[in-house]
Amino acid sequence: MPLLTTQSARSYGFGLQSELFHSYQGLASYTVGVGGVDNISFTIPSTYDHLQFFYRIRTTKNATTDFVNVRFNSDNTSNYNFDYLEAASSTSTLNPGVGTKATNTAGWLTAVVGGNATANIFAQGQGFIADYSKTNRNKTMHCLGGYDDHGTSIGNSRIENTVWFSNNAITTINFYPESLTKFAQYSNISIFGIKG
Amino acid sequence: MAVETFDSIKTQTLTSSTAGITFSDIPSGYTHLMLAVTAIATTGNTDIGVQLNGDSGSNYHFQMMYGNTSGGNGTYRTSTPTRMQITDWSYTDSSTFNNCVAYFLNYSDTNVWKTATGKSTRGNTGGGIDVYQNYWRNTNAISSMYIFGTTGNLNTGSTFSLYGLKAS
Repeated sequence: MPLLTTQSARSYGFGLQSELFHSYQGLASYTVGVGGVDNISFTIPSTYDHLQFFYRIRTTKNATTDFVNVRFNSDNTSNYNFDYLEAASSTSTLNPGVGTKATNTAGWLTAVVGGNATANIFAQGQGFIADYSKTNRNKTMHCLGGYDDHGTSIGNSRIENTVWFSNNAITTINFYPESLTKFAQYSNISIFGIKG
Repeated sequence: MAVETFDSIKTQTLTSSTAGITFSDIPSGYTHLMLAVTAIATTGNTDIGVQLNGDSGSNYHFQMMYGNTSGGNGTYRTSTPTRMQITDWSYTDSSTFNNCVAYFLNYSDTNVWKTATGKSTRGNTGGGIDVYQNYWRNTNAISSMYIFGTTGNLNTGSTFSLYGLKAS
């Protein structure tokens, strides 16, 4: 029973997304196979108003934690800013924190777990890119997610925002581990288009 | 070719106080599940828990980042609970329901442990917001979920809606 207008989702305080739910369509889902991959890329059609994506990610970095970067339209120049609010720690207590970084050569999707985290632990979350095809504004992406490693006590819940200083419509999105290692097997990113 | 992929699977509204409700026979054909809940409890400080596939063992762990005006800001994490937690502290003395949206990502993938990530708002006078990460240390596909009040019953008017999201 497809729901073209999910009034119920709005009423449940779905957040920014809920106000925009008129038509919701699956675009792609990619699951990493044996051996991992260096990056995950999507080609984005221009026919939607907004994009939502979900991630389940682990990298092969020789550490318990890592980060994931994002680039739009293969832009690797200093056109990205990002900010985050987090509660993170390597102990049993999570500590709040904030951070920001300007003129970066990539945006920041989120913090994730690395190859030394407990097996079967993946970082998880969702992201939203508003007005991704409009050519009269910079693009913004916000994410909500985190991880909790039962075995090593690392944990992190975070809210992240990336600004890409470009008026170009987003036609490709590329995610890759900041460590330049690989996304581990079973990592998954799925992406959806939303029409107004 | 894109397909319409936001489907209502099940929904229920309580007409009387009850300990919890179960969504069973969850189909496996979607990529993710979205659970939307508005709930109010019969006993103060009742959290909303979720148990999957009837598992009430200590096979879950979770953490929350929260902020509220009456209880301050901070975090909470626990390593061996018997449930997930998708919202914190529903108050009986409030007329405002807690509401939450939880995503069970890749819920039918039998290669990995199952998770639920999301956020919630609290209905108490001071308000509040939670961001949470839940894990069920089990690789089985999710076929049912029991949604319940951890210390008190869920009261009349509480609503529960389960949606399927299909990516491709």
